[in-house]
Amino acid sequence: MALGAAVKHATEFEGGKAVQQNFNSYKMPRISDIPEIEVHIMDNDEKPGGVGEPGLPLFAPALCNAIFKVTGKPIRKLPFALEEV
Amino acid sequence: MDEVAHEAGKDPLDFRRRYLGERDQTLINTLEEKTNWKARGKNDGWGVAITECFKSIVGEAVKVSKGTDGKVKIDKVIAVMDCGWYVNPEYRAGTS
Repeated sequence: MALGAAVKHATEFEGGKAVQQNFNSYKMPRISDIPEIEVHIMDNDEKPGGVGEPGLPLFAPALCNAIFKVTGKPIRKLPFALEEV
Repeated sequence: MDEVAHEAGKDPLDFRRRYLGERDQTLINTLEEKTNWKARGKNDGWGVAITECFKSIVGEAVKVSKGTDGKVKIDKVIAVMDCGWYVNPEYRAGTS
């Protein structure tokens, strides 16, 4: 989901109308796009918080930081085309 | 934040430690352990981010690399989640 928002799908508007009208043009990530993912949950007795959503907003900044490390170029707009950096 | 650390000439995780509290230090320790941070190559494409969301603290590290065709590809994503007290261990690892 976070991968899609960072590098895949966007809704563009022309003349007040969405350009992407269906999933054929609103590109979602496919299983072949997904990298290896490891999740580690920490054990402690703090008050319970969210589990499903908190991981999502972090992906785009972490990815853009990694791309900055490898290319020296900062990303300033989402989504961006991963194949063009 | 990684860009700021880069400008300051500091390691991105070490840089964040200076400004975060005790619970975050434990999270950073775990993130360093799971990514084998200290042993990473100088030019390895690691990027990190840490945030607080829905009362949990999460840290994520993404590794990218450039293929022989010059295109960037995502190799790995490692997420460390501090969601506090949890009930069902299998469910929580699946949803995260």
